[in-house]
Amino acid sequence: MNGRLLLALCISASLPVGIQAQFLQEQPVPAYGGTGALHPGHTDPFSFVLQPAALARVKSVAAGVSGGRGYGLKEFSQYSIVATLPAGLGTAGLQTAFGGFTGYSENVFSLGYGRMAGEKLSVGMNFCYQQLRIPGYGAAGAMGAEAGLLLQLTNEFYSGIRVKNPVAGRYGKDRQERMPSLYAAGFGYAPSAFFYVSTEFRKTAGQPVNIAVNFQYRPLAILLLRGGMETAASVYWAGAGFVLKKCRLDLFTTVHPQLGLTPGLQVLFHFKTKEHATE
Amino acid sequence: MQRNNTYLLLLFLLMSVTPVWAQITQEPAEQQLENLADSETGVSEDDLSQQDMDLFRRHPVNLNTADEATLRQFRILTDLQIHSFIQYRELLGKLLHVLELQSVPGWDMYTIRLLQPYVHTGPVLTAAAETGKRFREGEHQLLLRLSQALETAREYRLPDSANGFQGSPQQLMLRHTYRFKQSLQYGVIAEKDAGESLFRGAQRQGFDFYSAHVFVRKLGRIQSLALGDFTVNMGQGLIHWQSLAFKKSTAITAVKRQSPVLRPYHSPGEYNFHRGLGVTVQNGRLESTVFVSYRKLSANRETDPLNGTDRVTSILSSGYHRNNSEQADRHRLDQLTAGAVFQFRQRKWQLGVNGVYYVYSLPVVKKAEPYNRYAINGKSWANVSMDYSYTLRNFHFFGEAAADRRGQPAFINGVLMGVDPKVDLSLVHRHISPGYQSLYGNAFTENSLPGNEYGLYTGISIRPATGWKLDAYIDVYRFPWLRSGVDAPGRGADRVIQVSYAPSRETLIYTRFRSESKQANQPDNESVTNYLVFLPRQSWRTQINTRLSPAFFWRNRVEMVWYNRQGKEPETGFLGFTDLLLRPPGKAWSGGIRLQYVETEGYNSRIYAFENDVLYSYSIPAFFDQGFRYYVNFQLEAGKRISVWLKWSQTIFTVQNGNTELEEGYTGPVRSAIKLQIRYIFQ
Repeated sequence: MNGRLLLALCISASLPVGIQAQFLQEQPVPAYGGTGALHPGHTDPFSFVLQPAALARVKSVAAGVSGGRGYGLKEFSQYSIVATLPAGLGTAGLQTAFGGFTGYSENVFSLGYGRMAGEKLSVGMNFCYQQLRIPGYGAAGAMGAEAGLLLQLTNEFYSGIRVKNPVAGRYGKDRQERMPSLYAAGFGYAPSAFFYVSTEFRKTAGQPVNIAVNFQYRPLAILLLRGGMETAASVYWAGAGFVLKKCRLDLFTTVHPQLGLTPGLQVLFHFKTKEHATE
Repeated sequence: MQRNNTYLLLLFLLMSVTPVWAQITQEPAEQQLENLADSETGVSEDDLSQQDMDLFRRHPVNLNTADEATLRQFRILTDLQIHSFIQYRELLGKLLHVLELQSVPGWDMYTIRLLQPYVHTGPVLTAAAETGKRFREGEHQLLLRLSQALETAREYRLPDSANGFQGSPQQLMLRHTYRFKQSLQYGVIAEKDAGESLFRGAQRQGFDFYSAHVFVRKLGRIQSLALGDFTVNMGQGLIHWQSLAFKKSTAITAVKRQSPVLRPYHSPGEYNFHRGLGVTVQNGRLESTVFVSYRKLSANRETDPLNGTDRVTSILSSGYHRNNSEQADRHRLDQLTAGAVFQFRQRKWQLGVNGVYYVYSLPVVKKAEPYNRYAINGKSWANVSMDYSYTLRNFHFFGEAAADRRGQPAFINGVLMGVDPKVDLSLVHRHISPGYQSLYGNAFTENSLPGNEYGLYTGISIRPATGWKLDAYIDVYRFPWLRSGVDAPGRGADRVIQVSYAPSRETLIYTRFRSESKQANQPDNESVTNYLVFLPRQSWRTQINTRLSPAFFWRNRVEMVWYNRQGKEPETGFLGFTDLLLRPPGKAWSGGIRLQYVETEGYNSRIYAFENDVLYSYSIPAFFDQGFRYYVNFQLEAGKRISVWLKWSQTIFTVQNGNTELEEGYTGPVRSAIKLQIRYIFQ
């Protein structure tokens, strides 16, 4: 293990957004993908990773892949595949994610479902199974759950809350370590189809409050710009998406004041769009 | 013709003015109650205001006959607005529709929407016409309330120990009320707290607390006649105020104490009331009130080792008589009280003279501590005061000057200013000498009792644009003498700013920042002498209230707290909750659920949150440590006569720092409680 990796491990272990041994939970890569979660006009299939209720407004059969190299270290690499599928009165979402290296790795498999509950309210649930693996020590897994609400206050203004793991999802046989609980509430404001800004208060159990601010701007039909920050660790991110018919390619990076850049790539395909029965 | 023109103007207003700022919630009152819970004062058990509001909701008040005293009971209107309304009514005659109130100077749609469920406009009936109906056409109400914590506290497991509770863990209240509008009411209450015995042990006579009252209004010259239990409110609360009264909040114009002098007492609280006879008589513009009361109070009683005489070291107000120690203090002190209030009212001003005198069966001798240097001592006490109010155009001045038995002075003066249709200002100055003492005072002060405080409060409310509102206040104060736990004169300041936005009639969003910094002893000081430091506490709250549909109401709050212990480990706190309230139109049932997460690093960073409860009751717990909480409320109107309320709540702690055990006597990570209330109404 080289010195830079050791530094990264030490600092990330103390970070509010990095729960020691569970770095897939709240890392920058899903944060970029979930930018548009708090307004349906800017939601995409990656949004449900941060807000399961966002699934209710996703109307397409879609799939996406994202990957990033955490702080430029291959040991912190993360890969994620998402897919959405309109089903019944709502939409189902799947995610599988992998992160780590030969000495330590995490796998997450999530299954979510969101639907409208009236004209102004959408609700969603996301269940996940997370497994941690350390060669020589074996593997430990835990089940987690997240519930979310997304509420239309006005045409431009939306508000969302989500609660994650209110009851402990504990790992392994000794059940000493648990998945963190999270309570988050935020606003999304989109004055037009071109611009969106959101803020979310996130409280992870045992960690300081983290305030996330995002924006999304679409100056051209083929270009999407995204940026944001989180206060707890002063992490910034920015990226650009290039739209070509039913495909979008995003290049992004996060900036950590001590650990540096996390470059990433995201590809999204929309196969088919379905109008919901409720709309 | 003038009335027709007014009506046309009203129609024009209704057509042209979009009702803004019209989210109908109890938000201002809830914030005020939360602030009370957060202060040293604590929340009163007097639920008469809730009883009044429920009565007004079911039997709305006729605005064409409502007098000042009735309008004050809403706790929605300022005196400036009441005076404007009375003048408007005198000038233009009776109102044709509630929304005509938009034409009254100083009234806005927000206030009108708050008031609308409780008022109507109808023909004027004389008091004589109603006299015969008082006993025939009123409403009887029987109320049973039962609540219990389901986990067993350690005090119940060891009933024979010094602090062991000898009774059952249920809290039980039975209440009968008869009311005919505002004219006549009478009733009885029987109540036991959790841990108190029922028909056995120290409470062989049945319940721990009984209360009864008869209260009549508008009986010829007699404006109010109270027999049994009642409360007395004088001036601005410097010498005597027993009804519910709020302190600082973002309702910046609610800084003036306003209430009828005599009010019926019909609540389960066991301390803050009088028991005897009181009467208010109107003679032209002079209104005179006299009362006399005799009560037995709970008190710590001890024998003076020097001369062998008995004395009282403190008067107890909790009303708990659960263990041997509390039962030994029960009814140990006799209190005889007599008082009088004379108020002379003109259209624009009023002047009052107030006095109250107490005699005790035993001398009160407080513990010999430096902060008790000016404490009440002896077998008797007295306070006198003069209060005033004066309305000059859009300014309303008010105040009170008081003195106690030792001649120590206290002054409080304020002004409400409607400086612009979009801007209101308020200002309250108080100068209360360190030696001033009152037994039942409750003024607009930082301290729970008026005394030992100089301060200036300034507030502003701005409505800059449609849907937007900004409320802010600054209160700076100092304490010229020591206080309990504060070993030197100190000072402090309280600053609040709140921005509210109502994008539609159904939605209200507000964000509030509060910063308080008050001097206290350095926490965990290890040096020989205590010294004072500022202990800043900041909180930031953001809340959304919105109506999703005619049936659903949604509320979401996030609040953060930062508490600085000056050199010691600072504390932070977080609270977030989501409420979903369901009231289907036309259905006999309604309900609500809340999911809440709280995490604090200690008790100093605790956060209070108002909880919906059964009717006439509210709950404002302090939340600390780490965990989730949820509750479910359910209400059923089973026909016109029977209503049932049920509340189930549970807190699941994920981390406990020891505070919860120390505070509540419970162990284990779960706290569950159930509350059931049944009301039966008949005529």
